[in-house]
Amino acid sequence: MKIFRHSLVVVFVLVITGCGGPPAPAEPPVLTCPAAPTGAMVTISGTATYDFVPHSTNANEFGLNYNAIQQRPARGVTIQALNSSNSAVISSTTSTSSGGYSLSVPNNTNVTIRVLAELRQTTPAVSTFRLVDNTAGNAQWAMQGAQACTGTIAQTRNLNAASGWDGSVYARPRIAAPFAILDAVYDAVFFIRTSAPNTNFPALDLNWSPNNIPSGNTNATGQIGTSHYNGTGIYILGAANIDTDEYDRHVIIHEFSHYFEDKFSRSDSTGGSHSATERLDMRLAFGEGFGNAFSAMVSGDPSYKDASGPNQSRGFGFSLETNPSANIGWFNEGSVQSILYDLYDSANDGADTVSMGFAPLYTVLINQQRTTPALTSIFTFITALKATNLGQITAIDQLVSAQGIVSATMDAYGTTETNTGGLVTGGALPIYTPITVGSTTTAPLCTTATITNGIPEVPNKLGNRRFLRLNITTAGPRTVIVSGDPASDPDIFLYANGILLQPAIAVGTADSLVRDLPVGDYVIEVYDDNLLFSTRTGPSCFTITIN
Amino acid sequence: MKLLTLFFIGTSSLLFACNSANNTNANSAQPNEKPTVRSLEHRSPGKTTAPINVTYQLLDKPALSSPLRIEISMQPLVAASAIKLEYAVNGNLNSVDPSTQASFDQVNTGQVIKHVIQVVPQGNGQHHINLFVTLVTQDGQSQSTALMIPVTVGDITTNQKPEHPNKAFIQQDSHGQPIISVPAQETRQ
Repeated sequence: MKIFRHSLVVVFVLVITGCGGPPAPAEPPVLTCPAAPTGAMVTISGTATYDFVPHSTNANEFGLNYNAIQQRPARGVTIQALNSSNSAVISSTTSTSSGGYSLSVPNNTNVTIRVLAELRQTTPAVSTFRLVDNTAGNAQWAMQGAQACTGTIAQTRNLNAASGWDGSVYARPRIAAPFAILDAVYDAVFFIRTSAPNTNFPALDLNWSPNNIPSGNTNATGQIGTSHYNGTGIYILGAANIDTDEYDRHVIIHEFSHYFEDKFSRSDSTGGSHSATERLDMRLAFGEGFGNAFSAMVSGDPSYKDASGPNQSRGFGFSLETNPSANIGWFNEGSVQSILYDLYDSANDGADTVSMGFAPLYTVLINQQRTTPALTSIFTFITALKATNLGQITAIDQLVSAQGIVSATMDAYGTTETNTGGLVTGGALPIYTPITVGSTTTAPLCTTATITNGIPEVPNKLGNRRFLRLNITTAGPRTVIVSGDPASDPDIFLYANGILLQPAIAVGTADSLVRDLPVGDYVIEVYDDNLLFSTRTGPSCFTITIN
Repeated sequence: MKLLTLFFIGTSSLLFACNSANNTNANSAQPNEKPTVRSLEHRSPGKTTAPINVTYQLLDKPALSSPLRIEISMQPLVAASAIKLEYAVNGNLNSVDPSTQASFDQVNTGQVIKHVIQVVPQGNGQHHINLFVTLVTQDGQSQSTALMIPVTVGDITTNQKPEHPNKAFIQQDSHGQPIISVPAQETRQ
């Protein structure tokens, strides 16, 4: 039954009467003021908290443990005193790091305390993170106390956002969820500001709803596919008994990392689904590996956990301290996350003899990684990190080499890389084929893809796309031409510093583009549309000419 | 028979347009060009998934009271000592399988396991099958993934609105922004 009312009176009646099922927490009685306001002020103070449901601590279990629910402080959230007669905000503050608040309000006035699921910080600059319901017109989540008279002496009103769990199912509103998500963001913001205190975070909406299901691709109806960042907001799954992510702090912080990359660093990732054991496009591998490593750094917990299934009792996870056992290399997000976390952490183990903390990593992310003419990858990151931390080069090389990546001679383009990822000769290396104006590639540039049960794989795998490196020494109009075999439909993408200058996506066995290019370094990406988005089997090989 | 092919890999494959400022000129389609730059449509990084690809195909067109077969394909990305499949139905779907669970032992990396489940729609509308697949690794660790298979029967234009939390209500703040409030657990002194 849907109960959806704008009237506070009706709502409070409904709150008191309840809706059946297990007994609801005792609600304070609705009070009225025995006297009129005198103009004097009184203080209402208290603590805002939310129910946090932790993961199981049993080995090899990744589900939630509802027997260990904790009340955690709602940190940095907006707390308002509302005049109960008209819902006007008469006082507002921000909760402390322990969830505490104090508001000065008129005496003898009926007041309701509302806690908004938002972090709105004014120092060092205005930064706003809101939790909204994407299936309810982006309404902002809040919890609210009952109306009560302020009286003439100080009061304490403590508010808790409940999980809604009744011991076996979610029987009541899950208002703890948005506050749990927000609290993970609080940690991420705090973590970054530890290295960069003056960081001004652009506004971000985090979209959570119990209607957010792992299906489809229509965010407004809750069909969000999976928890993700789409360039404007973060969407978090809330589908009970199938996949909820509100208590999966690693997942939330992982998605926050994509926001961080987007706003402060750069990601050239293809996106698409991925796992830590796959051989991926190097851009995706870096972005996702960074996301996982960042989630462990922020949370202080290298055990990544993601609950799902009936009663959120299952899930999956991995340890950032355990190196991947297969497919290691520059194309594996497991390798990337292992390297990045080991660079950060203070625990040395195996090939990890380095403990840099986050600040040097952050510096590279917001500078060289953002401006590199190459596509973002482990190569661009490590090359810059070594260049800016000369005393750590040996230790970094040791760590990176242990993941099957040539490090000692590495450059941003991975020019000296020898790890083919198990692909056929020429299927992945060289990572960038050098080409000059007035020349044609001397050997076919080949792409590969896999089809399972007649369905093409998500086109974000190693070898799906190939790259060329073009250095322009004389400015002027240039033509890029690609031609493939009779079954192909090659496409071209021309990049400068990660910015897509021009695509060429005509249908046919050849394609070309013309662009006036200043002096500088460029990257060309080519792939076969028929190979990646249809049922053609590979390999598909091209010849590229620059005029 | 119309074959509806929908696929998910891991939990899903998302197709969102990229709105990065870097790519604002990417969708200027020209004659003879493909309608969109499909390369960019995948730029919506999602969470890391368990190391198993799960895909499905609806083998029949969903129809009221007619059996609907769905073929589930599971491909582990690491060697598995077992793969366990389980599903649950919601909405007006009835399972007609003897069991809603299946298990497969010793599956090699990359090997594809197929299993067909069967349900019967009992009403028009948008229904879902909740599918859970657990991969047990060689060292005994259980890695699970979940996905939702939508089953659309008949016309669904009138009955599919998201539900909102019981006891919640929507207000507007002074700026006209909607706020969805839920009663807190409150103690006073």
